[in-house]
Amino acid sequence: MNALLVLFDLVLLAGIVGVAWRCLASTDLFRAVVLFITFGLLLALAWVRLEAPDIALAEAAIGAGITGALLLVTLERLRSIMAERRSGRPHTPPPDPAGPHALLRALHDPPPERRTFIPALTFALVVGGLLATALWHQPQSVGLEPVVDAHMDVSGVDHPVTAVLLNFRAYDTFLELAIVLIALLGAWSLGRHDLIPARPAPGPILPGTLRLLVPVAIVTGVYVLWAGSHAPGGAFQAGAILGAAGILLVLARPHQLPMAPGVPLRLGITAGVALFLLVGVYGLAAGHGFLGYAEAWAYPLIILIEVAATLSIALTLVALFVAGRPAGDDA
Amino acid sequence: MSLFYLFAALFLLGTILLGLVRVLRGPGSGDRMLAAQLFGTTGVTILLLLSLALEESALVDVALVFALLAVVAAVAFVRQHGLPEPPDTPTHRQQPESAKPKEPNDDR
Repeated sequence: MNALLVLFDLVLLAGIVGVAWRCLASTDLFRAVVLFITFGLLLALAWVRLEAPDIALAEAAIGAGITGALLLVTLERLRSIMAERRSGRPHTPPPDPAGPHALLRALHDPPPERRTFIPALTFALVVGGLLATALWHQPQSVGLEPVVDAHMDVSGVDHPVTAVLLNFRAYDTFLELAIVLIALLGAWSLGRHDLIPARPAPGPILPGTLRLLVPVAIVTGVYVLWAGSHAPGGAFQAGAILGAAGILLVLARPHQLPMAPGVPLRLGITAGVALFLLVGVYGLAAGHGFLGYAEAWAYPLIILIEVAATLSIALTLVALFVAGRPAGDDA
Repeated sequence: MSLFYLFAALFLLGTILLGLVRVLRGPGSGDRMLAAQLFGTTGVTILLLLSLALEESALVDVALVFALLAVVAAVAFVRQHGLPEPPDTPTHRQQPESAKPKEPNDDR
């Protein structure tokens, strides 16, 4: 059984490296996107084999669902932008949309130089060497597992990863939530973008899929959020699943949906960070330290923060996918 | 029995690597996308097999999320490559009525 597991790991490793290499070396951007989706799948399997089902869950939600759709939509927008730019110049022929190299040539304007090979190789070797030496001098230690296990009874939850994320190292999670918010602010500050147009789909398959999948995705998202207190799961994974359901709606809607109103949308997007900060400051005032909880209150507070964070992450992911500020709230 | 599950998972991983040929060669975008979708299905099966072989019930949740969300990329693809193009430029595609479905839409 062990030999078979080692063989599985080796094949998986070869697959990951091979797919990553072909993805980076691909001249056809669509092929690179499909390879990246495959890469996400293999990576999720690798996280499973590394006994990190929490990360595998996040990778499954983000890598399989959201990133693939994001890259495909980006590629399509890039093509139309490039086509517009080319049509503005009378002397260059418009790129052939079917030609695999046309887009890449258009992107590299001027084309990449051969001379960059040697510096790139040197850089890769230096970074690789530094990483190797860092791994070589690993101190002998058992890690933080015994410490976490010893304090599980005061954490308020039953799953060690959630205990670390939302109690022992809540500050890190708070900053992660802030980074997600800042990413959205960055995207919004780039201005307004046209929405992905609504298009009616021929045939019953797409609307039927939507009608079946979105409710199931919402139930699954809530389940994963709830599971986070005692098993792999939690706010980031649940938020990614709910966000993917929202992206599915944005992608496949047959009619223009009404835009989300500005103020509630902004409140929802900031709810996670705001509530986390509020709880943190309260902990500071009550004498538990910043982001510390009273032991009796740990479980309800963690659940409250996780619910707010899930809502914020889901909304932020959809807003990032739509890209650009919502129209009509310049106030 | 878990040996059999592991062997089946290894075999399915091999089919993914074989299927990469379709992604690399194409020739069409549809071939590539469909190959990736089938990888998703295979990935779900591998996760379920591993969950049985390693006795980790949490992997079933990962498989569930995979099965649920692999379709998002397919929907993104179908929207752009499988639907009739609206007549206008990409910035002004606000009239969905003008892009009539080509196939008869009989049951709704």
